[in-house]
Amino acid sequence: MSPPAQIATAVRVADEASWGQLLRALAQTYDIWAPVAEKNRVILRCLSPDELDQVKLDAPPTLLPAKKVYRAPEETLLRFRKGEVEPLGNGQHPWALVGIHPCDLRAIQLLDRVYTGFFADERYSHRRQQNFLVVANCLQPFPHCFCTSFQSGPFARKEYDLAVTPLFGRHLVQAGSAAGEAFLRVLGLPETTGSELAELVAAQAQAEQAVTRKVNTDNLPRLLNMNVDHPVWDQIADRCLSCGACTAVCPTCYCFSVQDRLNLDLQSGERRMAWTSCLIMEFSRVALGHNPRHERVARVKQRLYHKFSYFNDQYGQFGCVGCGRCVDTCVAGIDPVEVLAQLRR
Amino acid sequence: MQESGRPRLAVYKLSSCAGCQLQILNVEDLLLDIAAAVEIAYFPMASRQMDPGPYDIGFVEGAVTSPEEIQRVKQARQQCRLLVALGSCAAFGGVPANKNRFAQRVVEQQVYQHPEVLNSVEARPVEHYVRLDATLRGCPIHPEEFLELVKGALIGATPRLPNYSLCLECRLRENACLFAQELCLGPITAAGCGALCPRLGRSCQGCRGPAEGVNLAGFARLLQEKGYERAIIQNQLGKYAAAAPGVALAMAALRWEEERR
Ligand code: SF4
Ligand code: SF4
Ligand code: SF4
Ligand code: SF4
Repeated sequence: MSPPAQIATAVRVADEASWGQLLRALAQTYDIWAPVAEKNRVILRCLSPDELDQVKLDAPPTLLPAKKVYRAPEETLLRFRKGEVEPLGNGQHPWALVGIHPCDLRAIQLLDRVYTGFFADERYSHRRQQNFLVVANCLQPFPHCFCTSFQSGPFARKEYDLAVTPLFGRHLVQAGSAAGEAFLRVLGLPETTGSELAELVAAQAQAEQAVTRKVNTDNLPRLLNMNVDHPVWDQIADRCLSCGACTAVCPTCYCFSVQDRLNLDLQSGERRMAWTSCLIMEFSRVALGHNPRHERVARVKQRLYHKFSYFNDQYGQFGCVGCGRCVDTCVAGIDPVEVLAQLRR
Repeated sequence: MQESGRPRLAVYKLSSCAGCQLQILNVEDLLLDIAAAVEIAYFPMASRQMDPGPYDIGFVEGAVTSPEEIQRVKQARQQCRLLVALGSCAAFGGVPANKNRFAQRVVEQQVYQHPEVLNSVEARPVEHYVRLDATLRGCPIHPEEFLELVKGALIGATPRLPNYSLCLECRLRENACLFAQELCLGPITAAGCGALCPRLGRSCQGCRGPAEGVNLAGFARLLQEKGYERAIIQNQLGKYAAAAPGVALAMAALRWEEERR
């Protein structure tokens, strides 16, 4: 359990009316992206100002995570005509993400490492810069969550502008950045002197205990590297369908492919990017057709080794935030928690 | 190419419903637009004018189901520089290949009053007899993909058509997954249709055939674990792609495992 010192201590209490006011104030500066429930699913989408009452703070994980805001599943990067290139903008309006889960917040930080590091991605960086993040702490984890293993939830610790915890019919709001603090001041939401901080600490402890799925992360990269031939890999390769769904929904999977498309005049066209996945055959194919991951077992391993070993080598952190989406999604029932546990048996 | 300098295009029909050819006609306006780039030299369904080969690109629609069609598909191969399977019948046997599971005479008697006039063999995909240069999937094909292929041929580049699982496409479009309620073939079917059926709340019927590298045997086993009967699995997997590589093997493995138990 984390020491209470890690959460911001100043707490504001917003009732239904002032929470609505907060959202409307945000919407004046930002386009609001938030989880909404529609057509029997929960998705993250951009809301118009009159839809703000649809923001769902206690929703299960959105089908696609926040990465879709910074990099849509398919995007046009530039247009060309006979050697002339027309670059497209980086996206217009600044965005606020409201109600994202703590694990998804952590995932954004991991994506930052990837996209704004040595090979900086201009569009991604631009979109991240004009960003306001309102995280919604989880009181009740969902069946597949294992965020506590990576300290990415169920309560957020840092790198948010605002954190909101819906507790006993009120919204407890904390600022985690100068921008967040300034925003609350302008809004005129007073700091509470009541017992709310203590309530938050208790709620956090309770939520953490409710996350019962765990990954033992002790020496995990080493364990993986010593078990490249463990029978569990063939067992899951036998079940895995190579559909790639698990990587599509993963908040930290960042792989994409780039493709040029010609228009009918054969002179002009556009360059598009689309998310792709190491689970699919063509992903690792190189010129002249060789494919180092031709065998399914190599593709299955790539995903889990990337999350729990390679990402660590490169960035000193695990590449999984324990959101459970891949488990929800996999029709074959492949579960990293279970696979990693088997390695220790 | 002929004196016109435009690539000459031919469209052949074997055993099929003509739906894929119709898709070509649906984009004909656009086709003429490709800088009036192609010459439609042989397309009996669209035009009475039938110019003799050779052709630059030939599209074959339909499964090969008779000795006469075997000859025709071999001739098509000789006549065309590039030969393309047009749709799932040509690519994977399509709906016609469903008959292969039964004895020829039995199916013929079920359908025709005078089966003795028929001269029919097992329904095979084009590639069973001749080499193909490309495949357009779907029942029917997607007009966009047809255009991609023609554009690719015009500039001499291999078009990149989706050859990964439909689930990837379906998830990226944020459809609610139907698998828990229905037998959806999305996990093993090739993307490229925009996840049309799941988007409309219907499970994927597999009309685009198996994607490259997917686990057909594992999928058949999974369906069985979920409680589907072998006959149902066979019907679904075989609906549009009975003759696709791997389908028969996946079913054989299932039968074998069942008998072993
Ligand atoms: S690997 Fe699975 S649990 Fe981990 S972040 Fe990705 S989707 Fe979430
Ligand atoms: S797991 Fe696969 S798809 Fe995801 S980031 Fe790693 S290589 Fe890319
Ligand atoms: S979702 Fe499951 S079956 Fe599909 S690629 Fe991922 S692990 Fe394999
Ligand atoms: S509805 Fe079908 S195609 Fe879509 S994700 Fe589910 S199994 Fe895959």
